[in-house]
Amino acid sequence: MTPNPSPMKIAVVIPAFNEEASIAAVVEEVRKSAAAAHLDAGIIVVNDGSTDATAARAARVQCILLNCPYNLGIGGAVSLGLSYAYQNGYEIAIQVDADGQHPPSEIPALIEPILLGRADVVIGSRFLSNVGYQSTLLRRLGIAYLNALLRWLTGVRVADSTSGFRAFNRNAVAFIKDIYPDDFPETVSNVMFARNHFRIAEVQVHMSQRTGGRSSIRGAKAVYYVLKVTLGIVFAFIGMKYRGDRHDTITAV
Amino acid sequence: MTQLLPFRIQILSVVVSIALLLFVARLIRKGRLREEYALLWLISAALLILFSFWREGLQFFADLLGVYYPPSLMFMGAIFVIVVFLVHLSVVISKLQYQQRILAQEIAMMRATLEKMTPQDTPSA
Repeated sequence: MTPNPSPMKIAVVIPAFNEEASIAAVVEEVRKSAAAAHLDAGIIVVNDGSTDATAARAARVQCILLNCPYNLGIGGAVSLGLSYAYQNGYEIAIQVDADGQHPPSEIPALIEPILLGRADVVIGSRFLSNVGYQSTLLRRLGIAYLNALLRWLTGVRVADSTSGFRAFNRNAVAFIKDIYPDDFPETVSNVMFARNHFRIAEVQVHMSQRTGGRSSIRGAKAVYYVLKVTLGIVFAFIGMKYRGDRHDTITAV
Repeated sequence: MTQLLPFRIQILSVVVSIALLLFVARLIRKGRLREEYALLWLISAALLILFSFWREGLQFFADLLGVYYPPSLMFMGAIFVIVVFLVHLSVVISKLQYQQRILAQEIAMMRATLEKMTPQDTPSA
């Protein structure tokens, strides 16, 4: 963590779907952490068609609130936040979950590889050296499988390819904003980044237990999840992911 | 030439084919069908009518391709066309979903810009 006051505009994208319990606290925490680290951070809350008071709670705290006209899903919501960040000249974009499991205090550590020019994408991983919340066995097995798939296909070694706590530089944002996948976006987009020669770095962060709700991936659903995500990853690898019209595709530099 | 289909079924297939043609024509007239699909359905209807009248035609093509049971040629052709068309529709739907997502995102961003410009009376939409 370098204490150098960065002049770079940093977007913190917080996708929120029915997160009324935690959204305001998360925004406040991000703002405090950014201020403490002297970061010029814009907090972008993407309210993804919530049916609870998420929009009202977010409107009362200091942030840029984007209200989706209907539920786009996590992929569409993050894609929107990244598009906004790109169009408004932010140089770095960070994704932080609205449920409070990602520690905003780790943001300076997360963006450091980008500030140093060593990486285009930084993954905040919860497993690097067994620090903090470790989650269930099934979940860890799934993550191990996805890591192996990513490593086998692209040669990229990460401890947690499913982490939603990530930072992107402007090139990476330009590349991914319109093609950000709908299903299992973290792992699949990591494959897309790796395939397009973006440099992926990983930093270790201390994650806390999910504050609200349980993981939606359990039992028979887990099997379906594994099949579907495998297909998604393989399609991303062979470049069959739908990319809209050809002129929309931005290639890496 | 062998009787491929009984006479009654021939009348039925002619009637159904013509009904399909008329239905497609009606949809086009009401502007409820885009030209590219209209063309496909018109050709399908025309082919059905052709083979309803020209029974020997099916036998002719079956002999040409070495198919012993002519109706199976018809089934194969129909299934092939249906599968291709379903794939085409999946492509169209995927494209629409992508475009719809972009559109929704544009709306969200424009809404945010609009609210920033008029902080006093924010649009309730």
